[in-house]
Amino acid sequence: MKKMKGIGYQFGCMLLGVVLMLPLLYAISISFMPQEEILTTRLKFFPSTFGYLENYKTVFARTRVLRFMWNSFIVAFVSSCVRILVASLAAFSFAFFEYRGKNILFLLVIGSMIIPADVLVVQNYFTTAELGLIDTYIGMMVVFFISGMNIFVMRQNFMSYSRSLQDAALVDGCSNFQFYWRILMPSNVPVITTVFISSFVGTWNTYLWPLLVTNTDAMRTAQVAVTMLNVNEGSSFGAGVVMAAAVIILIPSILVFLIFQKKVVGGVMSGAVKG
Amino acid sequence: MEKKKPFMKKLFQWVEPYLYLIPAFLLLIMFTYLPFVKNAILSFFTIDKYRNIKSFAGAANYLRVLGDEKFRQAIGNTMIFVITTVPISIVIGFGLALLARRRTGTSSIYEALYSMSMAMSVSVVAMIFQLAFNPSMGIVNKLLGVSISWLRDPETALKTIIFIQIWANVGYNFIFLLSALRGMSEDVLESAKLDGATGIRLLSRIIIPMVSPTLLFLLMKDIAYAMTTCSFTLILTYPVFHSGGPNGTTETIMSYIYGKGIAGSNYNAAFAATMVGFILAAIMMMLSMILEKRKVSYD
Amino acid sequence: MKKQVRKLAALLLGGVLVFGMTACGKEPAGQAAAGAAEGAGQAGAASGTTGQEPVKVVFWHSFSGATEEALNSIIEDYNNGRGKEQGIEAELVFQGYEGTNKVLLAYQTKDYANAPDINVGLTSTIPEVMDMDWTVNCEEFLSSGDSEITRDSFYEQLQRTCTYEGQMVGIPFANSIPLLYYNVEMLGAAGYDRAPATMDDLIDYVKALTVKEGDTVACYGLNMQVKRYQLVEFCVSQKADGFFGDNEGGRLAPMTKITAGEDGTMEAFLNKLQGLLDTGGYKYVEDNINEEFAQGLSAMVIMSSSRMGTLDNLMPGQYMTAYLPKVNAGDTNGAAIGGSCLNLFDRGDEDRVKAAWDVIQYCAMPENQYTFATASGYIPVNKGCEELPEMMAYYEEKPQYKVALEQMKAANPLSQEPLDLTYNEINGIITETMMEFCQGKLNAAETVDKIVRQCNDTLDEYHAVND
Repeated sequence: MKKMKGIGYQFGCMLLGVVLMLPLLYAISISFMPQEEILTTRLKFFPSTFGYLENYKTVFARTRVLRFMWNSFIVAFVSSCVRILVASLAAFSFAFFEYRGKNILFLLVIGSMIIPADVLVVQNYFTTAELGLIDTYIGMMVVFFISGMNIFVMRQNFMSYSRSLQDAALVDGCSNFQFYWRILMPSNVPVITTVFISSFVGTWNTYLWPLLVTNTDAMRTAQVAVTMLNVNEGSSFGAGVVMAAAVIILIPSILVFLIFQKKVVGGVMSGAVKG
Repeated sequence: MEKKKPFMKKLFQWVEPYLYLIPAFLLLIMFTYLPFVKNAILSFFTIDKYRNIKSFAGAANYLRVLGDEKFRQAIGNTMIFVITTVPISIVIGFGLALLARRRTGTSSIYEALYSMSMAMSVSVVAMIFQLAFNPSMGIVNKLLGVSISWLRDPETALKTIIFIQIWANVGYNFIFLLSALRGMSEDVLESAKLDGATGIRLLSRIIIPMVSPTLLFLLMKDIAYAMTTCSFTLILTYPVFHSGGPNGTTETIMSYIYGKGIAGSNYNAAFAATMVGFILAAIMMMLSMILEKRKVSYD
Repeated sequence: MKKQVRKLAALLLGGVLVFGMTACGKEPAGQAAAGAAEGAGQAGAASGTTGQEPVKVVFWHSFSGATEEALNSIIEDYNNGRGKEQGIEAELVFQGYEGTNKVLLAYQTKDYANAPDINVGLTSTIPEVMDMDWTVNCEEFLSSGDSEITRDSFYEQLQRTCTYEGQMVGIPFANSIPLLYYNVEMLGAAGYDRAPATMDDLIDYVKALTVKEGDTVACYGLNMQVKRYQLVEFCVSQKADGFFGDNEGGRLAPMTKITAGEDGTMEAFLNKLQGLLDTGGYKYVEDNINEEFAQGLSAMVIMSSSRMGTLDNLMPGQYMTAYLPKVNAGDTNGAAIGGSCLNLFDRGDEDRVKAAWDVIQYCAMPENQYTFATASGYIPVNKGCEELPEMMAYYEEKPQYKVALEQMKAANPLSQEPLDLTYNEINGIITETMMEFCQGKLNAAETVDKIVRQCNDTLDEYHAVND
């Protein structure tokens, strides 16, 4: 009896999951339909054949989808790496040293978390332009290099680290930086991974900033480019092609997410979020 | 070991922690504090379309922006947006997390399904739902047998965007709540059950307080996001209406700022609106922090 | 432990490597353009025509589909032929719908590297574009004497389209005129052998062509959403001094107010529109106007002639075009030709500017106009084009395109879109207010009042701040 309840329960949960993901399934289904099937007023869940690959071919032939995804990847990957470096250095300073003004400086970090980044978008655009960074990778990434939240999280983690280990390391002749680089960071890989993944997903998904800062197709990220497929009224990209592009763009982020999902849940548990 | 000059060493020791802070603070100043202060100061001046200062304006920009019925409508829309999307998506995420809490043979499958919306970017989600809600081609109308213009009709446009946003938020909330739930101590749960707490009482007296830090975190993050979002408006309604949706019903504070600042080169309105938006967001966040003081437990 | 260290180190190292790579990493063409700007600036007069490096001309546009392909082929021909001889290489960059905004933003930060030499901009942006120091007034080139094209190469109506403060500042490119498209079969079945000529006729046609199934409409007589484009067209097409805005629609001097309320043109149109709304067969929102027309969900649509290419794909041979219906039977002005023009920018290098002018001349030549017009549905801007045998044959085969050309030629050159300075906001205002009108929330007089008032507010604000 209990076993059946167990199976029934799980089945129900899975069904719920499928229902939740219907939009995704819908996109996949449309991406395999030719224009006529999409335009009919009749209801059609499944394409008559899954072999219709024209939409996908069109995406690869007529858009630079691979380049767009590469741009998104570079922005997300490099920003996340830099973010970790910047945040961990700052957290290191806050967690392991005593010095004047430490609390005020930390308050400034917290304060920055209250100012939502999007609100400053117009000003940041002009700062970036004055630095000559419009339409460059660095320009796209530069606002993502810092995250007050990440500093906060890493500081929490570092603070629960035993001071005696640091003292021991120093006695052994390590400089503070060596302690940071050789001992502290490697033993905090779970938190680093979590922060990296959430940064990666976050920057991969952003829309407004890359929209403003890129001028050329060569630099556009996938998120911006996909919305432009629809942009010209009278554009000759049908709905099927747009959905095919959407599916293609989703594949890497979903894959990465699935692979690292356990780590994210685990990392979140271990204290990335704590009171 | 050679003795280094004590002065240099001492200097270095004194300076060292500040050195580590330099990259972070350089970035914080350049891209958060400086623009913020610039924005605040400039909002009190009259600026031309090339951002040259023309004269001191006092509160004129603010008065004009607050007097603009479109901005007031944007504020109203944003508030509605926050009040609906944040609680609903947290509740749904929480419900799903409760369902998925116990590890079962197939739990990894439905965990993945529940959290998947986190992996889908805003623009892709927008494109998919744009098609789904398309009056003649989209599946929603075909299923329901109606021909409602979901994204063009002023009655339904905002509700549609709220729906889309909730869907997009669920995955993120789910993941955090799932790990919070799984991080609960089983001992506490067991002893509470032994004490006779079940069902709703277990939920409200034990479980919710135990995950309240996470709930607060999600609340604050979601509020901050909802107060300053405009992606769906920009992608779904701007190309058609050249403004915030049908009869302005999907204009948010941020999309108003975009419309004035980037599309319209009207920086007076944009900067004043930015400061107002920031103040409102800060108020909302403070309200939720007051909620924390009253409701959240940390033991 | 060590494994984790290695992993972490590899991750960070990889990140730094990519970082280093990308620090130099803009597309080669983009970099070369920036490099050429500096290099050419230093080399001064000696570069360009005889130098080894061709002069690069950056050309921004917003076309896609068949139009983009046509432009690509024209530029490719140029680069391989005339451009090669002259040592010029043009590069096309797609900008979505924000190209002119980006130029304006780049100007503010004097960001030469991120600006184009040529931009396809909407003609309504002309005042703003001319306000920037770096914009070149094409009149200089046109009247210089050694130019292949002069004012008179273009139709009179198009000359005026690009004229501001008495000078022809841009070169017409990608121009269209509104047309009434109709489903030939449906009209025939209802007993009509030609399209409606006036709004009153239109109302009758819509009544006859609407098909209802119970309470829902299965086929609309007419589908058209009134935004700035449509409203302006219906207003300026009425009479010679109906300019929509003062200072002859902002062409003599910057526009300061809307005049379409005072001169009665807007209200006249709205009254006729009310007649359409009353039939119950007029769809006033656009969802997928092309596809729905092709599917037979609407019998007639009013939209720009630039959509003919798309319709040729969706419903070849099933539609035909006609002139925009007159608001009043006695209207004389005719619809305004509008669209975009080519703007020329000086990025600090005189040879670049001359090279860009060469590219522009090439694009305006009759043969290339033929290529562009037939692929896109835009009207060929060069008078010589319609005399080309291939163009005549094309018009024989596709008479619907000729209608667009004829309508333009028949129109009064004074009928033009206004050069309103705050066109983005005005577009938003008109779109929104017209929605309210169509929903019955405002009557005609209130709508006119609201539109005029709000648009004038934006213009006042603009002038208060920018003069």
